[in-house]
Amino acid sequence: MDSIIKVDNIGVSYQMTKDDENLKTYLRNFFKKKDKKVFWALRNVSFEIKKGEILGVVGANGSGKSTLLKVLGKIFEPDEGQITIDGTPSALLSLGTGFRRELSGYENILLNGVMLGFAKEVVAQNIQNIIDFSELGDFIHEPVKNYSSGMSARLGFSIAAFLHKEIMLIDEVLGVGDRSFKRKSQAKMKELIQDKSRTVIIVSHNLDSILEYATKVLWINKSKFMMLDKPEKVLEKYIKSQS
Amino acid sequence: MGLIPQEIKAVLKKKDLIKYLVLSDLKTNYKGKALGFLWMLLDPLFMMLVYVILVVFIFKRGGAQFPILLFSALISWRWFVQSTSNSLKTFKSNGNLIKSINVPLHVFPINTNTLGFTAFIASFTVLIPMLFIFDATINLNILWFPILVAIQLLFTIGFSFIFAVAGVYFSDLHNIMAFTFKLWFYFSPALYDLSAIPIKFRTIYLVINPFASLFESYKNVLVHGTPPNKFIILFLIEAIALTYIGPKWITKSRPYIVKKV
Repeated sequence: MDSIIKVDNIGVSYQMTKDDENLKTYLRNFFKKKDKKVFWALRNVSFEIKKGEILGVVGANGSGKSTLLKVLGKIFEPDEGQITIDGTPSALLSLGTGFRRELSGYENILLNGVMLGFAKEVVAQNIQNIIDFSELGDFIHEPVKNYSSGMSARLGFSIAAFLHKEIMLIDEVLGVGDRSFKRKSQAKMKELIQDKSRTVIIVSHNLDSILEYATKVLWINKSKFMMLDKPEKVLEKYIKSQS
Repeated sequence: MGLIPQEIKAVLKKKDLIKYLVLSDLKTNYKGKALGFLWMLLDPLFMMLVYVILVVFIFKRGGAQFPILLFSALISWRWFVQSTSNSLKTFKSNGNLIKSINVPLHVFPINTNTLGFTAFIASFTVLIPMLFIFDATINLNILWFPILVAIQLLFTIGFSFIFAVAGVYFSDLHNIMAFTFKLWFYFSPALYDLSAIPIKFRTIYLVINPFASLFESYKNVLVHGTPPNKFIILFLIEAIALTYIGPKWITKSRPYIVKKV
């Protein structure tokens, strides 16, 4: 079977600026030939994923995991190398990103849905499921600013659980809310991830969840590719390197 | 068809997103205030009152039609300033979103422009009865008005696209513009008439300040019943240039913007 995602030797760089760029520093640097410091958040990383596979990504903080997710989500292009994706990736928003406080939960579902790139008809089809899953009841028509943090998280999770595409990019698998909702959301997550029609990439510090879901694991360290193999093999080495 | 940049076509596909963004911002800005959407009418009215008090009562200047001459220019200026200065911050204030999902950046300045334009239309409805009260000459030249509005819309959107990117490159542009906009307004014939500018400087004045010809044209078609100032052609050319360059600059700067906000 052909690869659904093919990552070929990519690199992503950030320009380091000492302080915030403003007109003063710009004018000062205009005449000086400044040696721009470039920081590579990711370099020489390659891998392929087939349909239905679940790729776990591990690495210490600042190793480039989130940058990898952003490039896969087409938020920006890599500065080097190439990515080919056959399908539409959707990022799971970290819960509540993009919520407008003055709007009701209901309106936020609509806004969030179209922002994620779904047609408003698709959002409308799913909206009842989202409301039911969130267990917000009549609160759904209250402004989000009146929600408790648990309620916002529940709404955020419910949107993510029903509005996603064939390729899912997940930054930390989490359960949210109180104990019963946590159990319910974790079960939903598991159902989504293990659906064979879906290709999933999970970035996580929680090695248990990586081990539970991933069919293979990519280890990156300090922006560099370390290893790509079966979960047990990679995690064994990764844990050793950590201790 | 090649005349319409690719970027504009892509944005038109996102009209649902723009619609929801505009509706949500309208609600956020006006809901929960006692007078709500009435502020769209009251804001420009109060601002005009301040200037009328200043010019007519303190400086003892301005003729009988001064309030409508001023208002014709003032609502156009408020539209421009509101749209462009909000565009300056729009990528930063939507930073979290821009960093998390693949959304075309052009929708954000278009959103602020739709809001600015809506406020302009609201304030124009205040101007209409005033034109009759202050005895404006209304004839067929009024048909120029929608054309002038269309040209300004083009100019303001183009300018906003460029400003949106510039605002990310230079974080203190916001402070500079707060001051520059004020100066620019006093430098434009809103509080005074174009005839206040000495004849020998008038051409150069009209060339370097696009708002000179625009304000003069609004006053002509709305109050005097005469055709627009001919320098409006220059304004149109600048408008087309800005709207052509702006969207391309956003596309080109996307990696920088996403990493920086």
